[in-house]
Parts: sequence; structure tokens; C-alpha cells
Amino acid sequence: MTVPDTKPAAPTLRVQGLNVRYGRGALKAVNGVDLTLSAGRLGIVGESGSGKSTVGRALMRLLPPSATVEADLMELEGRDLRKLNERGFRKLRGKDMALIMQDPRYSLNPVRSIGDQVAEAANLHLGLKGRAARNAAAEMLDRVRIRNVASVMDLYPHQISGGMGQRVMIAMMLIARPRLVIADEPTSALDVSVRAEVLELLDELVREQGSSLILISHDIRMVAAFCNEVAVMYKGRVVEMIQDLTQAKHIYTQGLLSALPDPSNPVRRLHVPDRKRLEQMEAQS
Amino acid sequence: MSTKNHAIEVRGLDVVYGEGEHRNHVVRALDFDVRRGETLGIVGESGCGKSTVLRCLTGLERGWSGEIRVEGSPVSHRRTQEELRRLQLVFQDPFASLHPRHRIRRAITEPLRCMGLAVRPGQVEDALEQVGLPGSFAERFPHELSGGQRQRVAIARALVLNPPILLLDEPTSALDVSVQAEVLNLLSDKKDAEALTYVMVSHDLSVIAHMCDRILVMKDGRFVDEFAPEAIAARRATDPYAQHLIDASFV
Amino acid sequence: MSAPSMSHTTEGALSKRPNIAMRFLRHPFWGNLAREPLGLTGFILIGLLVLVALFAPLLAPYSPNRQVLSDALSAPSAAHWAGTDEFGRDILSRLIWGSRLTLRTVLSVSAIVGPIGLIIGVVAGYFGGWTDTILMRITDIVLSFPSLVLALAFAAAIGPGLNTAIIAISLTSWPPIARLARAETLVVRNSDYVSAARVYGAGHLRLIALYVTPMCIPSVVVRLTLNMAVITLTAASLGFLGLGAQPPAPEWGAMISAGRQYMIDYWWVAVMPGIAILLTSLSFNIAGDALRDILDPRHDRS
Repeated sequence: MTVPDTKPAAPTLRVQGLNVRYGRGALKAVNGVDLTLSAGRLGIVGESGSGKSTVGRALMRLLPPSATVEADLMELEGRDLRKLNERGFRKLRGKDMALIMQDPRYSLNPVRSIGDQVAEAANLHLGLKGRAARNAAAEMLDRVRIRNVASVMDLYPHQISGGMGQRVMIAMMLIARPRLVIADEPTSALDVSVRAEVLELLDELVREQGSSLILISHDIRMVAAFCNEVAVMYKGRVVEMIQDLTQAKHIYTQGLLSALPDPSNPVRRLHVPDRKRLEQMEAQS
Repeated sequence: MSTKNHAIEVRGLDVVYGEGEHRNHVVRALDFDVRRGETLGIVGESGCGKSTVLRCLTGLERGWSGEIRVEGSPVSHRRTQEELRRLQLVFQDPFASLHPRHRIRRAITEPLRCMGLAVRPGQVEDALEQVGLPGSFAERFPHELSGGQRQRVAIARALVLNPPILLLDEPTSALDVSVQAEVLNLLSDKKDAEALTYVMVSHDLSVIAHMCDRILVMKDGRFVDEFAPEAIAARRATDPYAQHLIDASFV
Repeated sequence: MSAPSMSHTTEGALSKRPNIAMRFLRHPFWGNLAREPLGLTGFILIGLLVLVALFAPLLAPYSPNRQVLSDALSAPSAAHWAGTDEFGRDILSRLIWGSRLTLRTVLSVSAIVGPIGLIIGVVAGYFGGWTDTILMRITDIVLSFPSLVLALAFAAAIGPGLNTAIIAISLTSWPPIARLARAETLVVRNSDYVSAARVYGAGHLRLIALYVTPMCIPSVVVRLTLNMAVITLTAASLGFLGLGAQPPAPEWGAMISAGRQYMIDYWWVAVMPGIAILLTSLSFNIAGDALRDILDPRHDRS
């Protein structure tokens, strides 16, 4: 998809025929997924078990050893991700591609101060040492609009709110100016009133740095409002790519949309997706 | 001032945890009524005290002060079986609210046994069919069911005592959107069929707007605003916090 | 239900459930156990030990107490696989008969300690407050008793013997079980399904017996199995000190103690019972570890 503020350069990420299986001969958790992403925002939407998080983790090569990942093509800025060994990938992770996870309470190290953790990211990916790393960390924390940076840096993860924790996560993940940021349900553990703030912040930083963003979520309205393009996943497949919700043609996407309660269109009973028809369609494909 | 039309009346409800420096005033002098047959929604963010209010109503929370009347008669901190039967609770997480080692039959008959009531033959199957599950599920364990199916079992369990009032603590926030729709439909159908009174707590304004007749917005242990679901559609609240909540919910 | 319906006689409610034996065999436990070769070895060794103890009269080549002084202290041979002791008794036969004493001690102690620890722990955890404080202080006090010293005191008071050993070991080995059960209870007590049960009027007794205790049993079983290794060793130590089963009973610890003075020249006298003790406590340990991996998902290794 063309995004207004970028030149038609080669896409940041190209994935074709991505398959992920857990264990031997088991069902495919991800089945033939194709994704192309230039600088911009791609959404992946689906319900639990659709494989949306597995796609994100497969790209980061963060799946458990029991998972086998196959792809016909998997390129980040022209580099073949399939050919990288574990060491090469470790350099890539955090520096060129970053993952923001759902709950900052679990993704931040509970026994190290905020400042230390962000400074460590600066040290790892930017090669900064001591004071320089801490200064870079402070600057980054300031950019994610944390007030009183100096005092927050001495706090530990349990002493800050979820919203602030997620902003610290974003600071850590974006400090190296990665080309691709994958955000897996970045706001669903947060309170409603801070969700928009965190999303806007993420968007702003990603735009500033000219990075690409993959936003993975179950919330189709939020993703559609935020992303240029949305891949709707169902049982491991991308059933359709849409630019906005009015384009939704697939019965699964339509079912998903009509199942959402909408205050401006009150109904007595909500529409429920027609599972029988879905299964029939699946059997045919 | 006839109290006959009120399923629940609450006056000056206060809950304080801890003492001294760690004193945490969770619920502050709440007054509210729930009319019979109404669905009251309480909306708020984590830590605002909305779940604590439900725990006080069910008797799970014992450290409250104030006055609670259920169906006109005042209840104390310890509930009699008669009082418990008037009011049941559906929990947020269907993975945690069913005993992992009890079969579904057991889960549904436990309330009856605890109340010393007889279990009719076929009652479990009926109860399951009432919530749209096949009767054969009776012999299954919770881990053999999906999240939506478990929540249906939890609803069946809460309804087996025929309580006139059902308290719903974020009943669909752990479920997928399509399953949420099914469970919300089930709750609407049950309410119509059995003339139930609901008190529903949630952080999701669109769910609350869909289900409720009247909505209270809670913040820091207090109700800061009250409006009808139409106000959410119009995105208009009187309190700035409530307004912010509405704006943030619909990007 | 995929089970082929074979019984026409069991109709109604019964026919809905596969029979208990089938359910026992179909339990995923067995499949999981098959995937743990080491743990399976532990279980097989324990199974063998139980068989040996059960069929001791059939398996033992000689009577454990038959003294042939002319054969005293003869080295392992075809006639005496594990050699003979200073009275010319066949050591293998004594080890086989001795397995009964060891198993009886282990099982009796577990049967006493399991329920006591479970009840104290669950009650302390469930009620909390003063009940918890008092019960846990008692547990701490008992935990600080050395079981050997207590057994010495006991032996002095009521005379040495197998029962003295069992009582002494039991008295000092319930506290770890109680602590474990309390920790589990604290988690279960705050779970939604217990809250739900309170809302539908379940009383304390019902909650403890039907809701909390069943959730504590798997970890208590694991702990008991691991404990059996310690009990085996403690029982042998008591026997070694002469406080357990009295001569001529073929208690393994007592056999080592008696063989000690001949050990330099006739190694088998002390080594053979040592191997028996080692193998037994090792199998309990391995089996306990495997049980923990299978029953307790929190220790999942994948």
C-alpha cells in the first residue's frame, strides 16, 4: 500500500507463504500468510487462536523450540531473515526490529530500575557506555512524555502504572530506531483512558523515525482506525486485507463487526457470526 | 418512597482497607438504588472500586460499613442462605471461576446441595440447555470447554438457584468478540425470560451501553456521573472524567 | 462418547460414564509417565521392591535367620549371591526380608504424616489469622527438632523398636507437608471458584473438604514420595544406631552397623545393605521428581 509521506522504495518487510506448526504433524497455527509492508502501519486482527500473535513472534523468531516455521520469502529491507543464524538474529532483534508486548508488568525486569533497563538498551544497540547511555535513556524517556524523568529512572517497574510502564517499554524498544516495530496487543492491558494516549505516542515516534509498524490486536475498530491496511486472520489464514471497515466483504470480518455492540446503533440482540457457514467455507477452501 | 420497587438499595457504603499510612479508602459513601427489572451498569477503570461494590453486595467483602438492602430487607456482613439465594454473581474469568476438578454436573448441582435443595433428575441437562449447551456436557471437566462455554456454565450455575438479582463482574472481558456477543445475547434472553435484575460492572463502555438502562461512572471510589446509554451514543457527559472516558473509548 | 458400549446391564446414569478401571487406565498420567524414561525407571524399581517385599518367603533362597557358622563371612558366590555375614546368614535373604521392614516404615510414616500435614496446613491456610499463626509456630518448633535426637529420647522412654522409629520419624516429618499444604491453600482460598462457592452458600467444612483439599493433594503426594527417600535414610540411620528394629530382624541400617567391624576385610557385609538403601532412596527420589513434572504444571520443562 502506498503511504503518502514515503517515496516508493522497496518494502520494509516482505513475507510470503509463512507457515507455522507446533509439534510434529499438528495443525498449522499459521497457514500461508503473505504480508508486505512499506513504511506505514499494518494491522493484524483476529480472535484468540487465529494465529495473529504467532505471526508476530515468528517474524521475531521468538517461538518456542517446538514450533517449526517455514516461508517462501521472509525479508527485512532486502535481507533474508531465514538465512540468519541465531547470533545474527540476536543483533537484529531490538536494533532493526522490536517487539512491544501486551503487559509491561511482565515484560519489564522487576528487579532493575527503569533507568538501568532503558540505559541497557542504549548500551546494547547504540554502543553507548555509562553516562552517555543514561543520557540517551533520559532523552528517550522524555520523548515518550514521562514527566520527572530523573526521578522515574530510579523507580522499579512495580512502582509505576501500566500506562507509564508501556511508555517505558516503547522507549526501550524504539531507542535503537528499529526499522520495524511489532506491537502485540500493546494497549489491551491498559485502562481505556490511557489507551489512546499510548497508541498516539507509538504512532508519533514510529512516524518520526520513518519505521514501519505492525499492530496486532483483537480490537478491529481500533486497528482499522489506526492502520493503513488491516489483515483479518481466521484460523491461521489471512481471510482478507482491507483499508477500512466499510470494505469488509468476507463473512468472517462482517460477522466480527456486527458482533460488536455499537452505542450509536443500539440493537436488542447482537449479531452472532454464522459459524456453520464459516466452517462450510473453510471446508471448501 | 416505596422501597418495593427497588431490588437493591445502598446507603453510605464505605470500604477501607488497611490502616495508618497504608489506609486505602476504596469505596466512599456510595448511595444508589437498583430498580426491579433494571440493568444498572457501573463503569470505571482498574482500581476505581467497582468490583468491590459487587463483592459487598454478595457478602464476599466483609469490611464494609453503611446500609445495604436487598429486596427491601437489610442484610448484614454475614449472609443467611435465604439472602444468598436472592443474589448471585458471575465472575470475569471463566477459566478461574469453575473448580478445575469438578465435572460440570457437579459445578451446577453444588449451589443446590449447599442450599440443602434436592436435585431433580434431568435438572442439570435442563440447566445446560437453558444456556444453549448440550446436556452431554454434564460429564465434562471445565478444561474440556472453551472460554465461552465455561462462561455459559457459570451463568447456568448462578441461575440454578433462581435468584431474582444477578451481578455481573465484567462477564465478557475475557472472551472473544464473537463469543462476547453470544454471551451478551444469552444474558439479555435470560433477563427477559425470568424478569431478572442485573448489576453489571465493566470497563467497556460499548458493552455497558448495549446492556444497561442506566449507567454510573465510578472514579476513586465515588460515582462521578450518571447517564442513559443514549448519552454514550451522543458522546455527551456532564463530568469531565466521564467525558474523557467516552472520548477515549471510541477513537 | 467414543467408548464401544459393551455392557447392556449398566443402564441409566451408569452407562454415561466409562467404568472406573477404564478411566484410570485412560488417564493422561500414564502417557506422560511413558515420556519420562528416568521417572518410569524409578516407578519400576519401587514396583519391584514392593513385589520383593510381598513375595519375600518365595524369593529368599534361605531363611534370613538361619545361622551356618562354618559359612561365616564367605564372599559373594553362586550359593550366596551377596555373601554371608558374621553368623553365616545369607545376606541376600536378609536384604529381601529387610525390604518388608523398610517398606513398612516408609508406608506407615507416609500414612501418618500425609493426612496430619495436610489437615494442619489446609486449616492454617484456610482460616488464616490466629489459627494460622498458632499452627505455623508449632510447625516451626517441630521443624527445628532433629529427628534422630527425638528418636533417641523416644527410645529411652518407650524402648527401641520399629514402632518407636515410625513414631519418631512421623513426629518430625509432618511440618514440611503442612507448610506446603498451607501455601497451596493460600492460593486456592483466594481463587474465583472458592469465592463463587461462598456466594452460593458453601460452608467452611464443605469448602475445605471438597474445594481446597483436592487442589492440595497432588503436590502433597509429590512431596510425600520425595520424602520417602528421606524416611528410608532416617530409618536406616535409626537402625544403625540400634534404635530401630531390634536384632535379629534384618533391618538394613542395623545390618550395616553389624557389618561395620568386618568391613575392611569383608566389604560385602556393609556394602550390600548400603546398595539396597541407596537404590531404594534413589528410586523414591526419581519417582517423586517424575510425579512432580507430571502432576504439577508449574514445573513444566518445555
